[in-house]
Amino acid sequence: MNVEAQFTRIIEQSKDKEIIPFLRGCTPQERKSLVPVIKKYTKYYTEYADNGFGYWRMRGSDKQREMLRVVHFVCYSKKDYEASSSLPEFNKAFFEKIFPWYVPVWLGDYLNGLAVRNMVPFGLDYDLAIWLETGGYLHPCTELYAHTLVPWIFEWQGSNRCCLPHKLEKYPGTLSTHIWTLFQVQAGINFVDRNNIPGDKGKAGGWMLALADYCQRGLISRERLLKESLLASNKNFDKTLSSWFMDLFEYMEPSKEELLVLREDLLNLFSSPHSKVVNTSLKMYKSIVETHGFPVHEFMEYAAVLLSSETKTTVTQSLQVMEKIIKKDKSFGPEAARLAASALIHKDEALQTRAAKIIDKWGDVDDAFLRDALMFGVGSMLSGSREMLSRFTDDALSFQEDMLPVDQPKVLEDLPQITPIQDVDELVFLCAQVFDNNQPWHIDQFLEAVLRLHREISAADLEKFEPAVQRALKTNFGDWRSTQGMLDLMMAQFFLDMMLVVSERFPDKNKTIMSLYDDALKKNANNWNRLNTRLLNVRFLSAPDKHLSEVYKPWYTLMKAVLTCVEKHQQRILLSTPTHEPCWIDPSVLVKRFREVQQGKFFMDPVDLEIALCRCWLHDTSAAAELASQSLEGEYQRLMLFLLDKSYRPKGPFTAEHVWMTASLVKDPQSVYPELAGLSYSINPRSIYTGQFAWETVKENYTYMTSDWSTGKYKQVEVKATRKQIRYKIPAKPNLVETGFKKIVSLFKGGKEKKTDESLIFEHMRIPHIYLTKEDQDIRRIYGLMPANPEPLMAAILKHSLSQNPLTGELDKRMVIWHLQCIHEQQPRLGEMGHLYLSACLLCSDKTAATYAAEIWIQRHASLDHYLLGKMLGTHQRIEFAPMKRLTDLLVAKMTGVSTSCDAALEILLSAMLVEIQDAPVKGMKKLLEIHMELQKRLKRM
Amino acid sequence: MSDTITYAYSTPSSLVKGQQGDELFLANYSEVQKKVNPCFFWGRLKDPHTTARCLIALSNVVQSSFSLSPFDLAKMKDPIVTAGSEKIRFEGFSHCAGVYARVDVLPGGHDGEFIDTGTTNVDFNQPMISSLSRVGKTENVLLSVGSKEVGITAGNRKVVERKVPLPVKWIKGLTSVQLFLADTEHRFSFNRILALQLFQSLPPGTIKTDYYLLVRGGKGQFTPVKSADAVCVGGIHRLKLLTPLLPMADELKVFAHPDMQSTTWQLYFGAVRYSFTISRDSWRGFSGEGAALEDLLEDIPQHWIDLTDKYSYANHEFNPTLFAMEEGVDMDKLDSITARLSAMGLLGFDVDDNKFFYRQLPYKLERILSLNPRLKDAEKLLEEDKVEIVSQSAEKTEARVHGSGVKHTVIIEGEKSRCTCTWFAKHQGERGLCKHVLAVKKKIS
Repeated sequence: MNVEAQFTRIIEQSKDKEIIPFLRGCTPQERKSLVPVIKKYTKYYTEYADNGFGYWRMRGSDKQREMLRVVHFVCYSKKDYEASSSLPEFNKAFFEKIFPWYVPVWLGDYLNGLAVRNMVPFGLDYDLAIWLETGGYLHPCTELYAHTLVPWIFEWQGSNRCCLPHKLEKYPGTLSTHIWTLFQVQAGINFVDRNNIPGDKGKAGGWMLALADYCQRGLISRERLLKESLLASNKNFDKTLSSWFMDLFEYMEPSKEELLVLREDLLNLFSSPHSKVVNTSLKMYKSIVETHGFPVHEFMEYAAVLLSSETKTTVTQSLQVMEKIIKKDKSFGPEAARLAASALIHKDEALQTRAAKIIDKWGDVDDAFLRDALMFGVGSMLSGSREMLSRFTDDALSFQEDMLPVDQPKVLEDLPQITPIQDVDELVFLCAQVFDNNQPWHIDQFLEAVLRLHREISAADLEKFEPAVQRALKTNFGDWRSTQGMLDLMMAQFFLDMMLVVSERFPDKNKTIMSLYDDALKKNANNWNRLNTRLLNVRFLSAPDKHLSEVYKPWYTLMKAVLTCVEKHQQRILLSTPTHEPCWIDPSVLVKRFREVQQGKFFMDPVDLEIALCRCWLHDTSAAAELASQSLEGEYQRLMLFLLDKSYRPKGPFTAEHVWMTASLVKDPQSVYPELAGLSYSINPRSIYTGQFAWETVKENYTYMTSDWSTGKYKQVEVKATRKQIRYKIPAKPNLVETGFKKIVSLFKGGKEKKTDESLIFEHMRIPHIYLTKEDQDIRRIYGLMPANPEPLMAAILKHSLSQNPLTGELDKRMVIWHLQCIHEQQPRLGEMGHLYLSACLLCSDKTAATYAAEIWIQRHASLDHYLLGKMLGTHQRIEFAPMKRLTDLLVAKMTGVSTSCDAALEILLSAMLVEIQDAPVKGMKKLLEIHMELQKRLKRM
Repeated sequence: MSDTITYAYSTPSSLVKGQQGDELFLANYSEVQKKVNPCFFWGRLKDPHTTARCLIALSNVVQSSFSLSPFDLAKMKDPIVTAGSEKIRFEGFSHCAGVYARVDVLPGGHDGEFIDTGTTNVDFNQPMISSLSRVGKTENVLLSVGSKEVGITAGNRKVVERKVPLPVKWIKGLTSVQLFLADTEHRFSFNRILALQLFQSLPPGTIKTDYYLLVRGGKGQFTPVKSADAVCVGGIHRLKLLTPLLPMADELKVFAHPDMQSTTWQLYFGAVRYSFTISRDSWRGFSGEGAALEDLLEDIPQHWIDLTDKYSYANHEFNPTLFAMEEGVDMDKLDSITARLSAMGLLGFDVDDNKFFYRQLPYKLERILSLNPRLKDAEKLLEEDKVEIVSQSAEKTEARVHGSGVKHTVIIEGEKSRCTCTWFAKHQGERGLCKHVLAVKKKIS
């Protein structure tokens, strides 16, 4: 029997007693020849499989896997061994049964290599490492010593983890040599020591105390320990480990003499990226600043870097050291004054005052360098320091004022035009990207092009549409990209339906395209219950179900209308296709489209009509109004004149009530026209169309159910909690439908049955579900449905994503940011709901969203009601809806000092806010009051 | 082909701390040696502290990753940093290849002798970083670029470094980044205080949305709001790698690609310069950008490339216009020649000098194709005869190219190319041409 057969027998029959004698008897060549068969069995025995009882287990038994472990060690090369398992397990018994007859040549390289990569095999502890070293099997590297030594002094005794520092005396080399490897390698000494904090008597012990103790006993050098701690804290280790070495240094309580000896090493720590290291080093420096031999010049060289630090303590301590230096030797005053100018970039009053005092006292007014530094820092200077340093900065004070052109009304001609698709080839390339969410207007452009060009698609063109059909099928069956929205899926479904209709026109030439449909349907048969229906009857686009937000309904209606036209070969035009990016329609073009509809007597879809009115550009409409009066007739002439001419009043008869109601809301959501009082929509609460709901900010107690395992058994428990919420209630429409007895009486009296009106597009702006589906990716397109009246959508987003702090998820965050982006770009009118939305965004936990809100405030500050916004912020902050620091940080970083008019507006806002919260004990008020006072001082000076 | 190229160093790189001063020795390895010299440069650093801090910042770039999962990161090898040219340049990419950083020690920043020119690949591991961290402002540091054997010695302590492989991803990244850099334009300058104020407005955390750098009231500011004169910065959190150096810098200059495909942030410290270039987004590495694909498409005689290589080697830099005039090379072919040299990693670009500099790296012409999979795929489409030209005129070419189960339509009209494939649909040519368009262009050229 050859060795392979012997091995097969032993492993398959689990003869674990025979494996060592067998391997011992093999020659090196025979062991090498076993490698392929070992790999085969390793793969087989380590694979998971059903054990026949419904459990998935590795195929091999414990015995077989243990045998393989020995075989790997003996037969494999280093490369094979490394590839055979993630991390092996070793112990002394394992080595003892193999080492007498075989020691792998690669063992030392392998173990040291693992340690260099911060890995140590299971079971390889410091004792074993020393045993291997003593036996001559291994020469441990620094990393291996460090990684095995760090956890070695800790042992579990029962359920207690005990520190046994006396173990360090077990081997002679430990305290003399190996202990210093802890300072060379990132071996997690801070992690094992995390529960052993010096000073905590209940948990005394751990490395820090052990090192201090051996130092005291003279078994390790104190001088070296101090130096190594400093060097280790500056080795680019991670923050916690670097801090641990600094803590050790501090714990050793170095004397002033020792600190002076180590001054150069301490100085190098000033360049550390970790604030704890820098601050401790500064603290040490501060304690020796008055001692003879203190390196003043060297410190001054580092001061500029220290004073620019983002950490307040670092700047404060540096200024304190400088103050002490000047006190000791006045000749350093002018240099300190120059350096102190760096500290003025921090918008902190205490810091600035401290720095300003040094500059004021020691600075030379004629020092050009100092004046330059102050000129650049003047933008961040608070009024206190400005006043103190006025003699240095007189000329520079006007440097930053009023350079901000804001809130400029846009002109339609400035917006890029959206060119209509010219021919089928262009349509082919638009199809290729219409599911990619590349531009918000692509869907509109596509629907319009399909309506116009579908009859021109020839049999030869079908081939060009195949890649788009393939992509649409993939999109429909779940191959979504993260940047695609629900509208992209709906668009893909629309496209698939449209291409089915078009392909059916060429039954002899559509085989390839139909096979794409067939293949996809077959491939997804399990998930597609319509497979059994004939392909000709398959339709992909379906009405939004209960799981989908209402915001998608207008899109569905629009797509369905276009699809019907394609199916029935109807001639129609779309009114709502935008002419300018991202969603605007030139009013003259809209009038021309109306004329075309009137001339062609085309059917107008209500949703298309409403969207068109909502997208109509209403800033410069005189020419379009003139065109409407000349070219239109009847109700649509009156409608367009009402929309385009500011002074034109509504004139009946109003047959298309929904259009008149939409037009009145688009023209001015705040105005109520008596002429339209008779519309069925007028009896509904107006807020459902304008989004101006009555709101409140409340703090309330509530309960929720959660699972509890504290008793060892699962149970549901009720938990009491408090929440802060901005909320509003959507008023219900009056129920006009009479039922039961009332209906009989009414009919008996000869009354007509009352009908409920059709919902306007604004009513669909609801996101009722707890979790978003894909609204974040679609928000730009949803916004583009009704840019002239965006507040219903704002109300929906506020309710879903911003009503509580912080933002609940990544999708919500993205939706809010992109929605704010739309508001910033389109600059819509903002009513009370708009202000409420802005106030919630200013307090938003996401900094990008809050910054966007601040930018909108800067951009629109001339048209916003700052008193109202301030009152809203005050109402929210009375109950500490969001941490006040979040708002004050935003005010300081983004909203103050932008321009005089912004400062004036901000002063109004803050005054109103302070009135609202003056009697409430709110945390962080001091900073808010400081900002307010700073603004008042600044405005007074203007 | 393996995606890594293993280096064999004769000696490790190291920093020696001695009584006379510190010495940094960079070991070298080259597959294609034009001239073997054990030492390229030997001399003293005039501002060792700043240089050391810049090198640490560079190593932080090399150790960072902004798009890879922890699993991918574990697969990556320790990166290496390249140094070379007469100015002593240290270069590196982040793991994700979305950040390119370079430290230039300019002539005034060193006091030594260039024994020869060349490129060496250095491994900055923990002992090297630890030693660099200890370099003080007043220390006398000697820099040696060459293959001398050394170890890190502080008193009687010596540190030895290990060999590392050079990721091919870097070479791919070098192709695009140099071409982006060559197109960048200077947009803003900030002195130290203004730069510090600017970086105070960096948002915390990992930022997924685009931010914009704009100057308002004389002060720079990062804002998520797009405006006309602003510079777009995707993956802005990557700029935090610059913050440790800002307090030491005299000036910060910002350069931007016209199409905002990259931004370059250059810090000036006297005779030391730190250049930091980031890609359009944190998930987009320079290695995946196809900026050079179109230029690589054209058939260029190999002797032209050899000639250019020799010219650049002799001059240590590459000025395309001057080269064309001196060597009588067709000006129209220059972009293709430049792209080929960049694709082998031989050219870098200095935005201050506004010219290419030469690196002597171990790469051969044959590797260009293997490093650019889209180009390779286009060649394969042609080999398999999967490109059909439907119509061709002076203005317009229409073709069908076989894809996976469907035929893609490609239309080329003048400079404008379009394809119905997914790649083109998503990127609209912004990240280089797709393989279908490349194949059609190659066929009709």
